[in-house]
Order: sequence, then C-alpha cells, then structure tokens
Amino acid sequence: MHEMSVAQGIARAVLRTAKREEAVKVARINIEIGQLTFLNPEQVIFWVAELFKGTEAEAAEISHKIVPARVRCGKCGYEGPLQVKEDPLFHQALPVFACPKCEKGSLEILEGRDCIVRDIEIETSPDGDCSCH
Amino acid sequence: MHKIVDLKDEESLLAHNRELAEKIHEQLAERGICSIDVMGAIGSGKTTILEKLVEHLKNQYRIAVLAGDLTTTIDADRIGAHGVQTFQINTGKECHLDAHLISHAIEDIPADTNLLFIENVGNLVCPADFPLGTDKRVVVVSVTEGPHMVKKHPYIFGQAHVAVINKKDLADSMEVSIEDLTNDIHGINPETRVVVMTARDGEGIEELIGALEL
Repeated sequence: MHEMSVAQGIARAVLRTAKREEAVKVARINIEIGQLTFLNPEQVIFWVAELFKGTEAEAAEISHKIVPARVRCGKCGYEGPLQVKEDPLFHQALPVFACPKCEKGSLEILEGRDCIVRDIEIETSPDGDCSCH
Repeated sequence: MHKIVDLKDEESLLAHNRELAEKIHEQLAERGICSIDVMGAIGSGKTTILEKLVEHLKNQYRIAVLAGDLTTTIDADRIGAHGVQTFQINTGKECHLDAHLISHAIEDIPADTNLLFIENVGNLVCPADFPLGTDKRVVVVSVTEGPHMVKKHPYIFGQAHVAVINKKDLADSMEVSIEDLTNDIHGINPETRVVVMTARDGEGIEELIGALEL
C-alpha cells in the first residue's frame, strides 16, 4: 500500500522538527499507526529507517503503537470501539462498519485512520562536548 | 541535552487528503454538482457500468466524467463516445486518485455540469484511504474475481454507499455465489446498498440509478 508515502511524511516531519530544534541527534521516534490504515508497521519502520540514513536521525530507535479504531454512531449516539469479526479463514480481524449497539447507523470514524509521529526524543548538543571544561 | 518534542499536531498525509476532500465536497456542492466515485478492481467492469450510466442519464443531467488510470486514454475515449465530457487523469505508477489530483481536475469541468462521475484507478486497496470529496462512493466487484474479494478488502466495502456485484451471467460457470458475496458485504456494512448487475447487457442499471438516488 502507501507505506513508502506515509514513511516519507513521517521522515519529513521528524527531520523538519529536528532542524527547528537544532538537534544534533534524534535518539528515538514514537509512531502511532491507526488500526484502519491497515499499514504494515514493519514496512513503515523499514522505510523510515531507510529515509533516515545519512541524517541526524540515522541512529534513532523507531517505536510504534497501534491505535484502535473509535467510532460514533449517527443514529443511536454510540461512541466507542469498532466491532471486529474473527474469521478463521483470514489472518486479520474483519472490521464491521455497523454500530455495535443498534447494529445500524452511519458510523463516523473518530480515531484509527491516521499514521502520525507522536513525539521524538532529540539531543541538542553532542555528548561530552561541554565548553565549560 | 535530551529533549522530547511533541509532534502529534503535525500534519499527517492521510488527514491532509481528507481535509482537501472536504474542501472539494464544499466546492462541488456550491456549484450544484452531484458527485460519485466509482471504485473497483482492474477488469471488474467500472468503465462498462459508467458507459451504461451516462447513456441512461445524459438527457437528464449535464454529465462530466473524470477517468483515472495509470496510462492511456482508453477509458475516457470509451465513455466520451457516448457524448459526455470526459477528462483522463493519468497517474503514472500511482495506484489511486487523491484529493489533490481531483482539486485540479474539477477546475476543468464545464461550469454547467450537474453530475460528476469519477472512475478511480483499478484497485481495491488504496482508494479506500483516499476519499475524493464525492457525495457517494460505489465499489464494483465481479464474480470473475472469485468468491473471497469482499472479505479480503473489508475497508473499501465498509466505506462504500453502494456495492455492485457485476457479471452475474458468469456466476454459475465461475461457481461463485452471489448470495454469499451479498452476505459478505452486509456482514461488513449492513447499510451498503447491493446491486447485482450484468453491466454489459445493461441488466441492473435502473436499480443502480435508483440506489444512487439519481
């Protein structure tokens, strides 16, 4: 899917922030992947690491968290997780776009369809490079 | 010195597309244009369905069609032969249309247009994540794609207002059950309207027009 485009967006945001904050090194980045993006975390992390090569984020530890889908029902007002069906034929749980409460409804997706960088940990001056000694 | 920097309000690619899609939706509404995104796999029958739709509706509406494809103008030419305004959008290697492409394309459609069809790139995966700002989304699945297409692509069926099961005439020889496909669709989204068609012969076209509320 669009793992590479999404990774480009992530790398851009991280490197732009690192520059703005005058970071000499990015130590860690925390990515949030929405359940409904169906993005493969392994592929996203692979591409982000590739894009970081030769930059101040080259050695960054890349962590990720899956954000479950949250929905709101336009008919009964239910707000909460999306229903998923387990089917032994498939390895991935099937999302059901019906309200878990009233079983109808046009569901509005509140969370779970984005892939963002939550935060990053940076170093703003090189270790051991203290001018007072 | 270590420092944690919060980035959660940075723009996400997918959110950016959704915001653009909302703008397109407002622009189309202001111009009085009803819009429909037609999605489905390669060879599912999207272009044939659009040919039948414009043939049936061209005297009632001033129609424009945006045809998305990696390359060639084959689809736009086929639909254009029915006497409606068509515009080809070639995406190169990109596997879906996105709101950015559509935001430029709608600048070209005639000012008096009141019905817009967008034929998405043949793909059941990526278009689901890239809404284009249309009023309705249609997904086409044909029996020649086999019995498991719906379950394998739940997100696109979950996002569709109308699902067409096409090539009904070949269901027996393909040993694919229309009933099972219908149940799969309703298992994912009970609100999705299912229309069974043999688009090549025009079968089911009136039902589809009804489901699209046209």
